[in-house]
Amino acid sequence: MEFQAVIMAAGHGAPLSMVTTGHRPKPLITVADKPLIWHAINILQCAGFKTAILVIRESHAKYIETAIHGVANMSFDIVMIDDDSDWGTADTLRKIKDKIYTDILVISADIVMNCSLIDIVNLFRLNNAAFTAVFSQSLPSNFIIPGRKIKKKRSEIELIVGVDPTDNRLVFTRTQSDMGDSFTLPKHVLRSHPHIQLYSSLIDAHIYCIRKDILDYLIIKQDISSLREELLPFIVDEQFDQTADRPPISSPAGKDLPIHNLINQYNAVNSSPNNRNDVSSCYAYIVKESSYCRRINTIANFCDSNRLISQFIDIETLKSMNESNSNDISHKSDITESIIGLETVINDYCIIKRSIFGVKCLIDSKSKIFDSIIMAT
Amino acid sequence: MDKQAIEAAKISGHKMTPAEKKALRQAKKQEKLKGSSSSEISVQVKEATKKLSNTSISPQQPKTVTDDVAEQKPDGDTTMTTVGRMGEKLESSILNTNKLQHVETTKSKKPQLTKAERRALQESQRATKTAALPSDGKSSVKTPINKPEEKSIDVKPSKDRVTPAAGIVSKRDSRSLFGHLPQRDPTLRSIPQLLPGCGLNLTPSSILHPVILRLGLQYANGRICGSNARCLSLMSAVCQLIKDHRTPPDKELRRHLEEQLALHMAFLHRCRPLAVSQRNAIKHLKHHINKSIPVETSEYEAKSILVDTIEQFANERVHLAGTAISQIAANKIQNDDVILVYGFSSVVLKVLQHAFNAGIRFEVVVADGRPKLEGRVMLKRLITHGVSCSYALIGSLSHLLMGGRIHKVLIGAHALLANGCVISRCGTALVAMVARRGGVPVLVCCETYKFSERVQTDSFVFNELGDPQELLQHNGDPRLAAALTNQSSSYLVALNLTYDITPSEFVTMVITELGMLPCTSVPVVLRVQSTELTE
Repeated sequence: MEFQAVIMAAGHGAPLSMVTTGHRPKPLITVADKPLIWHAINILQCAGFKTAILVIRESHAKYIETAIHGVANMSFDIVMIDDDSDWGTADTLRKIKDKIYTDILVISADIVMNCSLIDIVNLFRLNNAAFTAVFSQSLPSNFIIPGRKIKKKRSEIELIVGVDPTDNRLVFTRTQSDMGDSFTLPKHVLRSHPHIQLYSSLIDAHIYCIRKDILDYLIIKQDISSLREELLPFIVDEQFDQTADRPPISSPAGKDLPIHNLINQYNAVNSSPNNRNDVSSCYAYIVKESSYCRRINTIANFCDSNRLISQFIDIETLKSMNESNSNDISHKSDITESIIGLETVINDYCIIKRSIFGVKCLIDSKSKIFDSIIMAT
Repeated sequence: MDKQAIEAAKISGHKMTPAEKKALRQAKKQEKLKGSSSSEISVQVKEATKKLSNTSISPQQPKTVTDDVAEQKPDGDTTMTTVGRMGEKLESSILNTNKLQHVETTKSKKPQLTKAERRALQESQRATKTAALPSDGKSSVKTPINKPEEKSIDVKPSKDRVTPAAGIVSKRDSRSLFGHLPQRDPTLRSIPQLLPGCGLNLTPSSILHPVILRLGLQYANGRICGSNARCLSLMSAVCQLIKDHRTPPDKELRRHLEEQLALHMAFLHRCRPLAVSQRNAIKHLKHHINKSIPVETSEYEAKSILVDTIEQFANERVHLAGTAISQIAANKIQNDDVILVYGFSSVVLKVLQHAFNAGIRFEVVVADGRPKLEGRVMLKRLITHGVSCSYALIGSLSHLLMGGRIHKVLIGAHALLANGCVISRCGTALVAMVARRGGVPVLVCCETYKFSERVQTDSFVFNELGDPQELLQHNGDPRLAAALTNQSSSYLVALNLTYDITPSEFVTMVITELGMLPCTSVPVVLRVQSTELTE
């Protein structure tokens, strides 16, 4: 097997507390009438995965197991984490290290994505990369968030990403906590990659392809607890580290055949075969404007993704979806670009646009609903 | 007079002549319907006329007939000619009428007329055909493509490219000119196109080993270039494949491994056509799968034997051969030499590095050609090693080579053919030609495992087509390419040939690990190798 999939579904979901109040665990929040975890599983299924390791919280276990029970063609290896522990993603990887024997694909359960995993994986394969990360465009800043009007802080840059556009190499990354008002770009990075494109509005989509030897290194280095916040910057800086005393992370497993070491010397494309940079190279896949990729970890993302999905599904399938759900929609109501859940009753003379309705909602006559998400308790 | 002649014929003994004639006529008719050759008819007709010439066929010239009868045996030619002409007359008479009497009136002009008539008829029919059906051109383009389709695996036909616009003969010709070469699939850059339905190839029972999948992806995207690099990467991947191979309990290791190997090779060939070096390496491996494994060995032992064979091949025939070549060639480089190299060759690089390490002072001129511009990689590697270099593009070859400034030309090879020709990167033939004209010796450095028993005389018979967009792009800017292909897509064919053939006359010497050989000793080396294999 080439890859093992790990779905991280054990997050807190704190920013979404408004939606998760009550008893609904975060992975089961519905986006476009399907639970979040369904979206993540769907992405893996479309790419051809037949099995995945699912990491969930112990208290959510019952709900999630019933939710994934009906998924065809896929088997799950469920790993539970105590509710009290404050484990990061790297810690969980350390916990499941015995189950892992190949390169891994880590995907967060709160991802909703339109593009295919195959492009991301091809980037990883093509370059014999050590690490591949996926970045998506962030929401526009004038996005309307329902709820109390929060005074907008001065727009802060969350993440700076530097990518070499010729080969999509991830050469530089800085999070907000590492920078003050300015950041420094190391000279040796510029020397090896004279052409760098810097992005300030990208969001880390938390889809990582990690090579096996990086994982082994992670197991040894106990102080890294989060993939996104700690491992990613560490690896990106490490790939250019020229200091001779620090040994390279490790050579790729299975490539200790003497032939393989010769290939670089003979390759007509490789102008610097003794470069240590290539042993642990990081690549970035930036999701195009035309596709969408969102992490549902804030209210804004949650609203936006619901809307977006209704745009990306064409009208015919929407209609058939709405009709297949056993709901009672009056024909005198005007419904456009909306998803209506099971057993919802919509009375006469309603005008509904770009909205999503959950299960068993009741809409009285002559109501106008635009850009809303309505769920029954 | 007629009646008398016929009566005379009757008397002379040919009583059945009308019936014979009828029978003959019918026989000829049937033969015509069957479509037998006219020669048979004419032979039969000649035989018939021989018989008939006994009777008086042409009452106007009875004497000639009797003369014919008299002169039949000794003077065969005249009789044959007359008989032949009669035969044609008979043919035409059979075609037109059933009566032999018409034969009398036919003169020598008529058979030519009828033939000419026939020719004229045929030509008029042909003309109407070509005028009426422009799609005939399509079928003529298809047929040359079908031949390579049978040989190569999964070649996509270039039907899509031929537009059915009528009347523009030159456009069709320009596409059909290189239609015989295996056409590129422009979408072949990522796995879903290479393997529909294979996706991430993740199930345990999936068809392709991920190492081979990765390799194919890298080949298709041009990440691994160069004959030696491709061969070594293939060897490394096949080693991994063999190590991970698990024979199902009902199958034998050798058969199953060969099947798997064939499957993976077919996939790699689809990603990028296999190089001669790669083919030879696989041939070597296949030979060892059949010969080197005794029947009673365990699977583990058999696999380790094979892996050792592969590693030994890679070490001896590629790596150490390169070292041997560099030692032999470095002896030929003297102090204050100026050496010209073209593009990137791993062996030539080794030679120059070895010579530099041995302390010889020399300079290198690196010639380079579009679209690959591999010379820049060669330049960088040489400079980091410490060699003093110059860089020139292929257009300045005559200036470089005719002025007596260059002392030697060192070129690498993709393969060496049995007729002594060298397959190398496109542009090498030019370098060799101009060097020969300028009196500069051309040394080809090539390991013996790249020798092929194929014979090819020019670069168009068989070649690999590269990405046509590479040719049209300038400095990686796609706008020029887009502009050119948008407006005149039907009139512009960008032809990006990857390799070319250097004839053996242009090559002074071939440096192999066996020593310095002339070009023509390739078949000898091949023969020696094959006898070693069969021992």
